[in-house]
Amino acid sequence: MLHITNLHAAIDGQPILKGIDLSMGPGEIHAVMGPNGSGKSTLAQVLAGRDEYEVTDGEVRYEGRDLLELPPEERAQAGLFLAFQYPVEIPGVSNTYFLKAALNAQRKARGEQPLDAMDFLRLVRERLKLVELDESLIQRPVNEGFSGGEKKRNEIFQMAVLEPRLAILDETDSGLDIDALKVVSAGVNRMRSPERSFLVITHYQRLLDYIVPDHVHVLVGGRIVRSGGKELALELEQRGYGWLEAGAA
Amino acid sequence: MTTITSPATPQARAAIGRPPSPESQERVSELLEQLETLAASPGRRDEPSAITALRQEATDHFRREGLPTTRMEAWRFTNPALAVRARTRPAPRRSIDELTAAERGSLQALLLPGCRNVLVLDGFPVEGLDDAGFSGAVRVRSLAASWGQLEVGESGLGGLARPAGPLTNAFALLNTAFFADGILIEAADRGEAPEPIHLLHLVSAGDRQEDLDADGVVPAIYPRTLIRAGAASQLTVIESYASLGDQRAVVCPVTEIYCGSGAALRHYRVTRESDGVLHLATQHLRLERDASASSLQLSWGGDLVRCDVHALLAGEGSDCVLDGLYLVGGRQHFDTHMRVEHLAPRCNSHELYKGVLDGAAHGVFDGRIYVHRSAQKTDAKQTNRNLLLSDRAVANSNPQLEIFADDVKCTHGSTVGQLEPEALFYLRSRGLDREAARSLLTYAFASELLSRIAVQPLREVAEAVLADRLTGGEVVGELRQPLPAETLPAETLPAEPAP
Repeated sequence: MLHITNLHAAIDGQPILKGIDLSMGPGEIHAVMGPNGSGKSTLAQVLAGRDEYEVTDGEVRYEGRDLLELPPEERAQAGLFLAFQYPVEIPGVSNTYFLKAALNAQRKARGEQPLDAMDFLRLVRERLKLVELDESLIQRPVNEGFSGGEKKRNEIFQMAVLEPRLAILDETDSGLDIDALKVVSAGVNRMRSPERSFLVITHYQRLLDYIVPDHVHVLVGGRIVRSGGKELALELEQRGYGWLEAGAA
Repeated sequence: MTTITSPATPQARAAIGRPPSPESQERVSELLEQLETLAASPGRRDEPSAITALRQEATDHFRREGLPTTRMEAWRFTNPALAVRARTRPAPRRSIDELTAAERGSLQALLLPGCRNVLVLDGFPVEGLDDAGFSGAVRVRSLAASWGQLEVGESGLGGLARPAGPLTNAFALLNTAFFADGILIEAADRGEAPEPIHLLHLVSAGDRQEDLDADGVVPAIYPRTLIRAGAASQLTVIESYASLGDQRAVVCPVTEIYCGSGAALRHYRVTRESDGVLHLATQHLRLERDASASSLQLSWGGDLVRCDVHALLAGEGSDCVLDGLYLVGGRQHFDTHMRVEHLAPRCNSHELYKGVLDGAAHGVFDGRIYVHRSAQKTDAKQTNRNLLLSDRAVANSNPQLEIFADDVKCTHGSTVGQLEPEALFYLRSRGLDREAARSLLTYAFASELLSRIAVQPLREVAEAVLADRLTGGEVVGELRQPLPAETLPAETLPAEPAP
């Protein structure tokens, strides 16, 4: 479903990603771990189409299409979703209205009928339960005045409504206490399906106790220096990143 | 009263050094000639002497001051040349029966449902105003019909827009010298208007347009409004300025508003005239003890809209909100010059002006809050924010404070910027295309002020105009569709029509 080959990306002429290779199949969960500054978030942003990053080399194919050719909205319409590490506040637009516009834009792009207000609300109600988010929160302006944890839960809630085929979770665990982490993870796990893949980006192994990955990749200095099964995460937890950083240097 | 900087006097102009252009001098002579002819007309000879004196004073001031130039501080960013160059002739009174079918159609679309619509054609109230269907607590009359009882000066006509007063300007002087009729709204003490009063000022040059164009002369319209809200009265007044066609015109309105003790006034000023209209307005507001007034200016029409706003917080504990939202594009120019004066202690004044500028539009905001020595415990805040949607749009923003009291809370701020790339990316990453994302963020920027429009049909008009101006406006249309009310708590929804 996703094939990243020799991906190089830079910002302001500064190379960040220096040749990433990664392949994911449908229904798989891949974790990307790595120390700060290793390029984890850059990878997420490049995949979602942030144009501040310049792709200098390499290729990304998503369901047979050249992903890098597509503007961000077409990536979303094709089923890609990024849960932001730092969700943006948008005063003046209520969460529900925003999400309805987004969902219907995606449905329109896929040639489906837009959901009317009643059906949309029914869907919203159902998905709110997944992340135990209070209904009053989603009628407030997008992320405005939300706590860090509420913002992250809102991201997962949006994911649950938009039902992507590939979800990238960029440090969704950061800023979450253990209870919120469990709620968010449970939400993600209930979204798992044979057609839906997840790319889980995290600094800590803790999240992977709840969202158990099929594969773990370690990103250091803009390259994947090691890949393995879920036990690799545990090894990193015990040994840190130092031994891999030394190897990468 | 503390001395207030006076507008450019002949001496001040001499100091600047250059005489007005021959063109400007010629226009001044022409206008003075028109005034002389008017003064000798039979209608004018019947006017009360106080009004004659007021007009004479305005004429004398205009003769001395002439028309503005960009060398004047108040006209640094707004070139008055367009208005100076336009040769004008006062628009005559026209009967509503003379309207063409097309004009009637435009008129229908401009009426606000649920409001008492009062038509003013080219500055002249349409007949049949008296006993306007209100209980007598709030009366709407024509100024000319009230000449006999009309109070002039002090708390009446010309009391705030004094020819020699602060913030006077050539166009306000011309209004005082020229206006033939206007609107008087009087609310008795504790009077309550059952519905908003919508003063619909219409530009209609009608079939005379061709004659006017032949010699390059455009109609000059001098709308005059006097609002007197008695003690503890409550009323909502909307002043709309619109066109019935696409005729050029120079519109110079003056509005004076008195809010008596404890009065509560909501006021809206809407400029939505056609391209080719130059709108040069002056608005004065005076608040007595514990009075509260909120005035929201909405502007999206005309080639040039300039509004000088003057608020005087004269009574202790009074509260004033002056907001504005301007949506301009093309080569439109919008300018607000505002002066808020705190004379009495414990008064609040809050101003929020937001501009959405596209194309090669130009926005100017120049605001001053004067806190006089007597105005302790003042709470004043002035903010101007501009959103530039194009590289060619320009905004000048200059909020200022002058404080002579020591125990006050005053802040001011301004921003000029573009849509945030982070926010745009966030929306696009959810599947909204670029235009839809831009529209949504622009709508969000403006919605803070749109949500302050308490008159539902007026808010709908403003929202529709905004949605229409945005390329990806459909997404905003979607946002404006209310979700089913029974399923969501009402207070959390963007305001929606009452059932």
